[in-house]
Amino acid sequence: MIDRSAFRGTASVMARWSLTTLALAAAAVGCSGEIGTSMGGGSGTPGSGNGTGNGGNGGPGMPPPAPANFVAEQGGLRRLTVPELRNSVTDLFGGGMTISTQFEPDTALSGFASIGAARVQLSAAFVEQLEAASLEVAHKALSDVTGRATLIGCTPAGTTDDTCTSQFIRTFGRRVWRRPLTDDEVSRYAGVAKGAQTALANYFSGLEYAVAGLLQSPYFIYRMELGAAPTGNATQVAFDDYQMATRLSYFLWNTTPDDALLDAADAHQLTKSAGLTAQAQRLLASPRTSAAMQTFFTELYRLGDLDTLAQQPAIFPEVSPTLGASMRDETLKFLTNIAFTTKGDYRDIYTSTNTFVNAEMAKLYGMTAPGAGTTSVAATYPASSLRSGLLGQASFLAGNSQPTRSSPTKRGKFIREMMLCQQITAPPANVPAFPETMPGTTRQRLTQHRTDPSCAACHSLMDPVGLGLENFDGIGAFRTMEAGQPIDASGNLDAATFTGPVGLATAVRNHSQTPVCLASVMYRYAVGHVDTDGEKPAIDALVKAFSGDGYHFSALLEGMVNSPGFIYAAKPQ
Amino acid sequence: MGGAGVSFALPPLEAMFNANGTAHADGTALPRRLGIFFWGNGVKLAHWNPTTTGANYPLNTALMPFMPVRDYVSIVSGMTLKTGNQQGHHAGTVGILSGNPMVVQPANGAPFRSTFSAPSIDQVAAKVLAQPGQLKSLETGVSTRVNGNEGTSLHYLSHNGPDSPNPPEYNASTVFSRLFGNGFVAPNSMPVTDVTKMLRRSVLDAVATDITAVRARVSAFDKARLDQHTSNVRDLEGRLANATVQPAMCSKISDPGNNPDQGGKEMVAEKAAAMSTLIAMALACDQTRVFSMMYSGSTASTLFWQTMASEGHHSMTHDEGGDQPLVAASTVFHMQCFSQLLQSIKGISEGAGNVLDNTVIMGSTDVADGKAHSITDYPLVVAGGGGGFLKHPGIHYRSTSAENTSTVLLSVLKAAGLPLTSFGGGGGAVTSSVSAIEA
Repeated sequence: MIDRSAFRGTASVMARWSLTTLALAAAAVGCSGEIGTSMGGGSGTPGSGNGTGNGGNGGPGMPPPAPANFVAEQGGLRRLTVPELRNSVTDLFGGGMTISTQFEPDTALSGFASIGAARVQLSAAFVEQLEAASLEVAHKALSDVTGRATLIGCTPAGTTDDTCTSQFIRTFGRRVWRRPLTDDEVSRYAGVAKGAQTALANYFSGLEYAVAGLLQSPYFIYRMELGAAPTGNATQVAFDDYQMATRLSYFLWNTTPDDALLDAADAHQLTKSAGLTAQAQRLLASPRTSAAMQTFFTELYRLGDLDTLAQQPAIFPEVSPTLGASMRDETLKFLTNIAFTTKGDYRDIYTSTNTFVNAEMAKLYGMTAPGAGTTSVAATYPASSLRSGLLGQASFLAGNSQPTRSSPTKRGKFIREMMLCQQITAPPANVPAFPETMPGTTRQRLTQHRTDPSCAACHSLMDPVGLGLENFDGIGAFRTMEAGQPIDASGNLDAATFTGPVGLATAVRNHSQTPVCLASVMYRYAVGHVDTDGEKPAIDALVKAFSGDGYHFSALLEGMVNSPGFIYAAKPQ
Repeated sequence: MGGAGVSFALPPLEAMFNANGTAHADGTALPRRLGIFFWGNGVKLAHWNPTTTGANYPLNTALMPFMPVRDYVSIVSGMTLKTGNQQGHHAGTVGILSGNPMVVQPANGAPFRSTFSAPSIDQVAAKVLAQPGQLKSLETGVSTRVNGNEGTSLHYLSHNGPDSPNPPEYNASTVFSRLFGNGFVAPNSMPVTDVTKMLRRSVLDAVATDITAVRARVSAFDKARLDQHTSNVRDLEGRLANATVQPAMCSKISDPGNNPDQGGKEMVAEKAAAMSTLIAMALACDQTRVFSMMYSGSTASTLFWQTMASEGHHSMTHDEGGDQPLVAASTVFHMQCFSQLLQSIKGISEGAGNVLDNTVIMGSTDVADGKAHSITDYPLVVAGGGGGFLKHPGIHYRSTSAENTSTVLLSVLKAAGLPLTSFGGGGGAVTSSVSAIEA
């Protein structure tokens, strides 16, 4: 069970792909027209109505083609994350339905709850919480006399009414389970309803139990992304129409498919390029996509952690109960602006000085922001602030600090891992005694730390990066002095040497790995696993789509929807 | 939920004890229980290890808080974690909680992560100890400043297996509602049978049928996930089906509140005390026989402001100079909270003794010394009477041959009544326990 491969060799950082590999990938761009023409061999019938059974690839009536050397990962069960679950319930029941039951937090793996959701087993506590939530929601929906008439869609003839119940379960169940129910499934939940209706002598109270059952069923709580449609490849299948509706909807809207998507699935449109594109465009054009991407941004840049900001008020008097949320608000508005409003080059998130601050943040930054109250307003960092982009924002700076001081190590580690997709090995057991810590600046202490060879291997990759941000203290406020000495914010990031925060930001923006890493993390978020070597062609294609379109964020989303990784799976084993 | 109107009374039962209070009146043994108290980032061994071995060992500085319960505390030192020697915090956490090596998961350009390869010992025990109608186990947590970015190992104590954590609940009010909220029947009150429980079971039955149908179509990996899901659904059904009869020592307690942070400061001691009260009463009411308290996590950044800590705990274990007096002081503080848990459990009488007499609690951490990430001379506490299985008063046993830490886990499981003769996997596999601490 133990995979020791991660420990092979002594290299502490393994760049995801070497420069050589990147160069080869770039060279391959010129012949990309040949990639992916071999799979399936055109055995399918373009435009045929059977939808899930297409064997070939390409053309408006067929799924987008996969590169020949693309090896799909196994499909599987992805538990709805807590936001997906809450949003789905709100959209299924309408009328502003919310769940008051608390759920245990999602488990993020490799940075994303979506990856955890595809791996982690349901805990006993979650099963309890889901039961309580489903009963709560069912009761709210069916004790609401006005709302329930619309929800049920028929008027029951008495305490029990098999026809009305079955009709409701068939119709509503299709929305809840994101696919049509079989007769057997309808009768199972109709049976639950009838038993309860009889015991309670009340049609609606009894129906609550059927609704609660639909919501606890694996068909609701898991996205069943198993793949179904043969592709002509012995080990590979395409996701069927309903699975595609589900993937599109949760990826782009963070919620359950709407009627239009399910209707498109009924018409077998989502296993064909033209239909997939049409629905993707419809979803992308909605503000719900930018709202959904707040989850991506929040997870990628760990903005959720800001709710438990550990900075000590005695050292950082700026700390307030709302400061963490204000930091997050700045970053989310800033990212959304570049990704969806100005639709700029997304790499400018590192160098843009345009931001959004409320009064609290303006005060932290020592800048003026006319009109800023509790709401963030557009503002520009003055050049003298040395603030530039995401790395100059307190959400990043404070989120990667210690409770009492800045942490160039944490900041450097985050840049390496999450922004460049490079790997830092965890510290070994039984390290020799550290050199004694002496008073002085953070830089002096870290420099001393690196005199120990066993520490230097990893710290020399993190610290010189994070030291570029030493003009910002542990809460993200500007400073020019530390421990009575002027700040030295010079450092290096791979080949680039820089002095100060703006130099570092520029180096990260222009790093060849930056767009590759963005494409990789988007891919991981969307498909729910860390990309494997076999999926590299899909990452290459996504990077190409991203760079070929001026690095617009929308290119990542569109590229993702058409990615072979989004459409194909290996058969479950 | 609608229409909870149909109910009828059942006769109340009282648990009675035999003449010398060592068993129930009908001869069945008193329940055995197992718990884990876990803290992150090790100890300072100079302040930890007792200077002599055997009974009446002197409590070193870090162990002084155990004074009120010292007869119930054995210390085991000198042992080595042998499951693996990679990534100190990860290997230590997984090894000391499960006796098995960790699973390192392929990172492929994503941050390092690991998980358990086998169940933690609380779940090994729960499989045997949990009775129908009870919570299989109760997971509580205290400091929320955990590291959730490196897989499941560092921020979840209890595991059923790989990527199958039982996350702790940090909010004591939520734990209270789960244990003593709606549906809790205090002893000597009239239990009621609620028809909605039967209806909820019919729902869970339908859900289980769906899970079985899905199971046929999925990968082996997902089959294991669905099996865990089914097991949890069936446990919930069991709790709805079995009216629990509360022992006489059980009483309803009030909601201890969630002790929220104050001005960025975590109320760690208050939260731990609230959880201790809840755990003790959950045991007294026989609502569960297995529990854990993740007091602080591996590599946790908890700021122990109570002991004048100057930075997050993990960093402090690396950065503080000299003999690390602030780290040492924080360990004393941890042990005060641990001792509080033991005292809460001891405070409830059962038969001729108290609940702690019939409980075993293992206390340990993710590394021996945080500064060095060492996994030799591992700090281990074995507390409680284990139903007479453990030596009382407790002793200090020091291994002179760097024995395997899993031997302690085997003793703990045996003290919980499990008839095991071997435990652990890989380098953590052992066939003997620490007989010195056994009665």
